[in-house]
Amino acid sequence: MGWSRYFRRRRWDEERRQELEAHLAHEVDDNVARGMSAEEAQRQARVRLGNTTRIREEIWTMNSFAGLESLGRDVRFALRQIGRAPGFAVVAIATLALGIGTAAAMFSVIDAVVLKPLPYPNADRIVRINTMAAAHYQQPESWPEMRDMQRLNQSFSQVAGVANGGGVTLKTADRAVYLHAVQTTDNFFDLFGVVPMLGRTYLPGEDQPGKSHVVVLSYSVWQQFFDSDKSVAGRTVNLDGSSYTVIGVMPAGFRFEFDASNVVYTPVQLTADEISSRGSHWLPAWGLLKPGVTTAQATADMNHVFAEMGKQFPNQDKGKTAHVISMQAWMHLNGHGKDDHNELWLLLAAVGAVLLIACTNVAGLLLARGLRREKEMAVRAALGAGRRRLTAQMLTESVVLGLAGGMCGLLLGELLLAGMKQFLEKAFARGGDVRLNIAVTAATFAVALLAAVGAGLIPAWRSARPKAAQALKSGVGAGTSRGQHRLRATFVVVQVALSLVLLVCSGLLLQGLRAKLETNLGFNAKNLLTLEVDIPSGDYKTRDFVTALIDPLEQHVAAIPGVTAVGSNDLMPILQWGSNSTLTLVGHAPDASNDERLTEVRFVTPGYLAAMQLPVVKGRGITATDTKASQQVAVVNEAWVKEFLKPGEDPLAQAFVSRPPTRIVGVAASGRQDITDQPLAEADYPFSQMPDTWKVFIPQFYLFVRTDVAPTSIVPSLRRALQDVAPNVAFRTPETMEAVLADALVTDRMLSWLFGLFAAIAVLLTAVGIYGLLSQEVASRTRDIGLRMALGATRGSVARMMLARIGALLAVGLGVGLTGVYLGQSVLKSVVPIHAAQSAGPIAAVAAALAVIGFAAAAIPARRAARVEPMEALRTE
Amino acid sequence: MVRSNKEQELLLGTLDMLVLRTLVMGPAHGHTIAHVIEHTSDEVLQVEQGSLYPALHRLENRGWVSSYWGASENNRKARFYKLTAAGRRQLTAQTTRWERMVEAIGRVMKGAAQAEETGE
Repeated sequence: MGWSRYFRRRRWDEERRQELEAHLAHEVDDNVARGMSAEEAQRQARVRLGNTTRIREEIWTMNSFAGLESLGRDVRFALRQIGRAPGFAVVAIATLALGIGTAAAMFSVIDAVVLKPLPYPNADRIVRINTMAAAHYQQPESWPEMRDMQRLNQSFSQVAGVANGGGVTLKTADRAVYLHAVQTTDNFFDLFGVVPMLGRTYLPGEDQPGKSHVVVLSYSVWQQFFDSDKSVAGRTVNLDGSSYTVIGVMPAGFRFEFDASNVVYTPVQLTADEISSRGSHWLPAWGLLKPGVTTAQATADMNHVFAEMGKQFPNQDKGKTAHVISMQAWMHLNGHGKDDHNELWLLLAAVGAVLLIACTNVAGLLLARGLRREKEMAVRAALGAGRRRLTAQMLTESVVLGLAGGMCGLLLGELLLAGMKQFLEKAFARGGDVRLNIAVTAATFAVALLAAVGAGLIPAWRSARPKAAQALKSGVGAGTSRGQHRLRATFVVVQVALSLVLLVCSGLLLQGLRAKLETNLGFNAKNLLTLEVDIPSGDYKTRDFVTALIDPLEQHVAAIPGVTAVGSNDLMPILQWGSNSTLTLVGHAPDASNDERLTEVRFVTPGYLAAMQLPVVKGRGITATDTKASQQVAVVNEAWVKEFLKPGEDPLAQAFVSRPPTRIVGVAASGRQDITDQPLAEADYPFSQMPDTWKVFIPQFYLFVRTDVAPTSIVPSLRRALQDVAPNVAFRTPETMEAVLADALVTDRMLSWLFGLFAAIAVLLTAVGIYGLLSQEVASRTRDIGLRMALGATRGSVARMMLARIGALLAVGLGVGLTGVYLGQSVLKSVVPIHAAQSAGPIAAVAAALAVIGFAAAAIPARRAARVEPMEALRTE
Repeated sequence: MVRSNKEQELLLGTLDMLVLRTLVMGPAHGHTIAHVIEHTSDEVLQVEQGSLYPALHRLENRGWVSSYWGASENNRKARFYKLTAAGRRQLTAQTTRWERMVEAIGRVMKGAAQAEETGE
């Protein structure tokens, strides 16, 4: 029997009708020939042939798939069944939706952020050459080193330098806009194997002074600021006050760096000093491996190159090592040297737990439902329904539920991703790319469907196999359900255990997050607005940006109503830290080269400490009287005093070695530079005394505005102030210090948010599971309970008996869960540090809370059990 | 259907064989087939016409006969059935089996008849 016959059976039927008519005609002919009247001949012929419709029906069914015919009926039947118990359907569908939705969303995140290959033809050959100095800190290359690496290596098709991106200001006819500039060596685009959409990329040698004022636009910049002008190549544009020639536009799909928007590409702008200085490290190296070369081979080769360089230039290059890391892996390190994998995989495990809880719950629900319908099944089996038909019907119901759950799950997944959007974009390089992934969604869908179908099959099998008569006689067979009961009890134990683990993670994460949020930063983050101000270098070649930009801007801002203090520095605390030097004190021996102590160096304006509310505890702060002409001064923090001076030494009597020496004129309270570290030793120098040769290295400064009104309310005034002082400078969106802190904790916040969500779902589902289990138990043991009560058991003792049963399950589940936490410590600790002393309290608290919730879920069915009327219960069955 | 499956199968199988045998003489339409079977068996076998057409359909499904529309002897439109090569092989196989069975049944019945005669 083939499909073609199935679909052609209507035509077949028409042919059969004609054939049977022909038969009748022949028979009539014969009968007439035998001498019958026409009427009698017709009648006799029909009598002999019999019912033609029945004959056609018989042939019709030969051409049909019995399964297909009944599928429609089963679906309708399933929908009717679901309609009859809407509560059950809602719980089952919601449970599946929660499981599928969260799993699909998290799988999609992992796929987009970790697993998906980078969108370059050469993606698997692009690597980061991470260089470590002899003293084991990450060190970019200097220009002469970059040249040597390019010349001496054997493993790379290209070695390119990509400077840490910074801002440039594009000045158009009517405004200044901030763009993200990626400054590179001339061979940067050769790494990727991507061809420009318009124009060209760099020619060899275009990274040399005099040729380097060319710019390649990203697609989005071309669209937004150049009106998608197809003839843009050759146009002259103003970047940071200098004129550049647009030479090309990259296609829409080309992205580097992944988390930056409004990107333009220019060659590095080399100064004479940079070209010659081997000790000036500023250019991180990237490479394109020759085909077939592994990262391990490339690492060995590059170490060989460094050994060569070390022989020639022992002062700068001795002891350097290289680690060649694939670009994909490098991106997971995500800049802060921390591997985000762990967090994501742990989240995935959490989602797996939620999915497992959801599946067991649905399975439990379906089992219980199947049990309740055992009698119905038995009746239908007795009336001649075949085993296959019964199974098909039960399965159809499971599948209909599964599909409905899946649909809702998809919706939920979308919502979850929408809710996580901000976290994702800030926490992961490719976080902005996350979409609900169809393949992974289908996979989770399949898992849930399998659970539903599996759970649906068991009752179907049982009802088909059984001694139907027995089921008919006994109603709900208490004895036959024992196996299923044990299965459901196991489900509840698993659910309780998994919920506990999730709750523990979530609780500890929240505890950690709160601790970080309540960290005493030293400065006051409340009512503090920060503004990053880019310094267009071209505009300040001849003018001093301190006197021409910072000072007048601060004066304008100070005049804004609601502003109580204003100051600036060159590095935003919390977000950026780590500009340090080894400073030597006059009269002290320099640190031994193997034991150098570092001081964080900042340049600040006189108002900085006041704006941050870091009090001066000794001497004075930086003031307006500290000028180029006056004595060189610095203010240190208390952490510096503690680290560098012996007790009793007077910090105000010290000076740093410089020409002329820099006197320490004050000590201020310490503020944290990084949120997780204690305050580091810091020395603040006045911006006004910054040497002119350094000023070219300052691409931006940060304005800190202390207000006594809501900080964001002064944003319009702030914009006007900048516009008045420097229309050539792009106004970037100010952020409150509290928002900066929140951003710095984005991973922590995302983790505690998600774990909190997952734990809540898990607990909710577990409560449903416990409720379902006990309800079923009460229902199936009504007679037993009635009997006990008739024999003198009190209502209280019946309720206690029921609760004791749940209590036992909870105890086992909690035990398993705690064991799981204990055994899983090593896995968990990368994300959730567990300290016996601090964590015991929260762990005990969540375990207790879970027990309370479990008993609360059990209370309703337990009460129902206590209310059983003995006489009625005994009579009903 | 009141008869049990096994009985039905035997009878259906027999009808199939008779139809195939009839078609050895050449293509024929349903009415002729029924008529020929009845006539050749000296009216002993009465073909239940209601089962004939499903049987023909089944034979065609199995590829033992093919069919086409044609004009009958008294010039009416009729569906003609023709034995295929596979049908011919099937007929041979069925005939052999049938003959063996008849022979076997015959022996059994003969023995029974003799036993009855001798009065044992």
